Amino acid sequence: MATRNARILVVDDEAALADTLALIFQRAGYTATAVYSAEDALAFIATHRPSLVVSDVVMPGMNGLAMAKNIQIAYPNCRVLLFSGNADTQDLLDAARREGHAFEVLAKPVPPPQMLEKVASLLGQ
Amino acid sequence: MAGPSVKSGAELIRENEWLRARLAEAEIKLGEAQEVIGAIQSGDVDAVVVSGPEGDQVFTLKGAEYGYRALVEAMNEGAATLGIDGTVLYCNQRLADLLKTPMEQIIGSHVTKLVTAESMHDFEALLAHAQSGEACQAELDFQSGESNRIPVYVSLSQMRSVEPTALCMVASDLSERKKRDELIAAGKLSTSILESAAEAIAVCDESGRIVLTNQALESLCDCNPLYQNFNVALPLEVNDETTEAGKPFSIYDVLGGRTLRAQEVCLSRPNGTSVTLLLTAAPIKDSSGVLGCVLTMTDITIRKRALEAVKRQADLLRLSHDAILVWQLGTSIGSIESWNLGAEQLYGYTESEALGHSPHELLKTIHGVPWAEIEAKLREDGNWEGELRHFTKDGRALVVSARHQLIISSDGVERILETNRDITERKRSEGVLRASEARLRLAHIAANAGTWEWDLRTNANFWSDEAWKVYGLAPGGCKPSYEAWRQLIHPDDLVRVEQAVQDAVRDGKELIVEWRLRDAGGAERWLMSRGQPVRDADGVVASYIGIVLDISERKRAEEALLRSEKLASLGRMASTISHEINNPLETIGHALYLALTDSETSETTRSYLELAVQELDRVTHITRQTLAFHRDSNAPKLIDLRESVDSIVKLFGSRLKSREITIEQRCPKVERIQAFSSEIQQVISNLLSNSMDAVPRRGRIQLRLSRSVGKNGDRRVRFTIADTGSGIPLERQKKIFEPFFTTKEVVGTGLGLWVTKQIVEKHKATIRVRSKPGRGTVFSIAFPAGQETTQVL
Repeated sequence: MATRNARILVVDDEAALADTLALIFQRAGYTATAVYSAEDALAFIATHRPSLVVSDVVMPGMNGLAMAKNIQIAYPNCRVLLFSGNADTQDLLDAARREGHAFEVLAKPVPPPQMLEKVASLLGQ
Repeated sequence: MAGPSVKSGAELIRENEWLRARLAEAEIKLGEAQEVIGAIQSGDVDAVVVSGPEGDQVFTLKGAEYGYRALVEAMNEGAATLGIDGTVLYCNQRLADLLKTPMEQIIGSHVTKLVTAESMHDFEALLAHAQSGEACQAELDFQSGESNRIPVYVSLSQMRSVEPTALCMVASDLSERKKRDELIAAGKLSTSILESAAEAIAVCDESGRIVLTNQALESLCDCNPLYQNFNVALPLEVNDETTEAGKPFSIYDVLGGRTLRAQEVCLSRPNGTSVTLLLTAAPIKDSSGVLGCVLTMTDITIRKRALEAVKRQADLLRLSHDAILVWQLGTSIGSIESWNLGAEQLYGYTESEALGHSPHELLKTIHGVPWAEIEAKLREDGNWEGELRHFTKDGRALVVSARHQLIISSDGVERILETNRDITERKRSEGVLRASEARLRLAHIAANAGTWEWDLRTNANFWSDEAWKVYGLAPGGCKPSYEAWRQLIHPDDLVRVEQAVQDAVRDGKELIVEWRLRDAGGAERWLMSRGQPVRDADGVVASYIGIVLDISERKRAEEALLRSEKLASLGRMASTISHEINNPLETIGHALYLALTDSETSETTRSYLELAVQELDRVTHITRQTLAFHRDSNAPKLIDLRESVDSIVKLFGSRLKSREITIEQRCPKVERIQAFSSEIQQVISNLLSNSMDAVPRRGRIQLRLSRSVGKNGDRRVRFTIADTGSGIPLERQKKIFEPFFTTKEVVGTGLGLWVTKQIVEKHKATIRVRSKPGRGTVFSIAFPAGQETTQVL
């Protein structure tokens, strides 16, 4: 199944979090890479064209939401899944929705089985 | 006689014929003469024209009309006979003289030639009247030549005895009379002027002697001042305040050439009174010098007195302490016309600053009642009284007691006379009074406080009636003492209260302590005891006297405030902490998962790891409950509550096992509900957790799903959790959903059920609790059944 080879990009400013999640995705059969900032993520996407980006929201520098908007505009075929430990995220999302961007957010901590289920559904499995 | 000469017969015949002819002539002449005589006799002929050697001569006949004729000639009036058409047939000498025109020129011309152009109109009318048979008269101007005007009085009438009809005109010369009349009139006018003048007028000659007076002057002098020296007849004193006050007036000043205008002078009357006059005097000059002078004096005594009275009144007004102003009521609310000293002092605006301005604008008036109401009362009653707020020039606020009076002048102008009294101080003291009244009331309330006395030596207490009431005891129900009082205190507060009492007594200081009644019969009651030390003669504290107050209200308010503050700060914390905690939790989750899914992990290790995962989930739920007031980004979905229940029960699996608690699940298939899955899980988890804490070892918890019908007949899905735990006392049942209410002293945050209630209400559901202490507790949540087509929550 081609989708199993789908590339997933994990973005989180906490390295341990990003690395372990990428490892989980890899064990599940995906190709996964971890980066630690939105800027790095955009650079990666430009060269590697992942099918899915799983990203934290609150990060230093560009936040995950701004990055997601950029991706949606620049790479419409790339899906974005956000996850956040912050309750205030909802307000940001509402604002984004009003601008015409719709994103899904999972609340940290996300149990890995739930994360895998979500990712599978997003990649159309 | 001889005779001889005999004449021949022929001669005799010729003589005879000549004589007969002569006779015939003589007969004719005689007849003519007889005719003339007859005519003369009958009066048909007044004059005979005889041709003689010197030409024609007119002989007027002195007849029986001689008297008339003489009269006509002799009279002073001009007379003329006019033909009916107006031709002058005859005129007398007097008319000719009057017109300075020879008679021959007048006779035969038309009478209108004698009339001036200006009088023509009147004369023609006169003529017309006379021609129609009416006698009439008029004053006209005749003319002689082109420019000589002669005023005459003309009378025209018909002459009855003459055929054809003729007119008789008589003209009287008015020139003389007119001159006389003018003189008289002039004389009359000046006299009447003099006499009718209210002013006393005196004309003096060059020596100062009064030569002309009028009535007013005479009454001034109480005598006839004529021919007296003016200074003697009227000793005047000059009254002018500016310079020459009290200086006597002298006529010689005026005769010397000085003109006075409206000089105020004073005349002392012989009877002792004095009169104030306004004197105007001027010399009469001609080319030769001063002929005399004219003086006019107006009595202004009354006016002066009136003015003085007004001035006194004005001074009164000016000096009055009250602010008095007059302003016009007009289209733009009024302009100030009068502003007294009191107003200056009260408001700080000088008269010149205030005049012309609107009082409302100047003083920034604040009326207690609408101006329309005040105006209405003014028009109805003519006055209004009330309190106003004004602002002074330097911005201070004043309260004034104002009286408005409406004055309508004869020309219809409406003015307000406003009198204001400053009552700011009074108001302030009223304010002070009210404050002290408030304090008094407070004292009354304080009177509801109980008073107590505590004798430190005997420990005996005195409690006032109110104190017994505050303590919730029947007055006299026990022996009041320090011990008895201790018994009233809630065990939780006892230690603290005793410590406070000890500290106060030891230091001899004021005692202030708040405590709860041990037994408040259901509701919690907070009291405050406050006492002062009383020293004996040696300065040792012998007793305390004080009050005790019920402060439950205040306490409740304080607690509510504290709660809301906690909530607020908690909210602030949540954002920061949640992020801090959730990230590590996430990473732990990852690590555990990776360890679990590693094929090299042993079974034993795996079981430990699974335990770790469970505990991690528990931590997650705790943080979710307390910190993460998060909202799902996803829209609510139709969820099957069975799944939610299952997942939570699984979550609590090990704990339940360790405490040997039996879980009974009675969850048939029911409608799905429109909900946020994670939040529903949070609710079930919270309730299950509470039940687990309440239930003893080997207790039972039942989880049930059922259908129900709401009040409006709407379909509902009910989730019930029942336990055999210790139950919740009735008074606590109301409070359990309040934030920060907890019975778990060490562990509880007091937020679990509050969050649960928030979530329940968000889902448009209801939550109820039934509990019997010692028997158990049942929580029941009724969700609206979801439509199987998507619905917006």
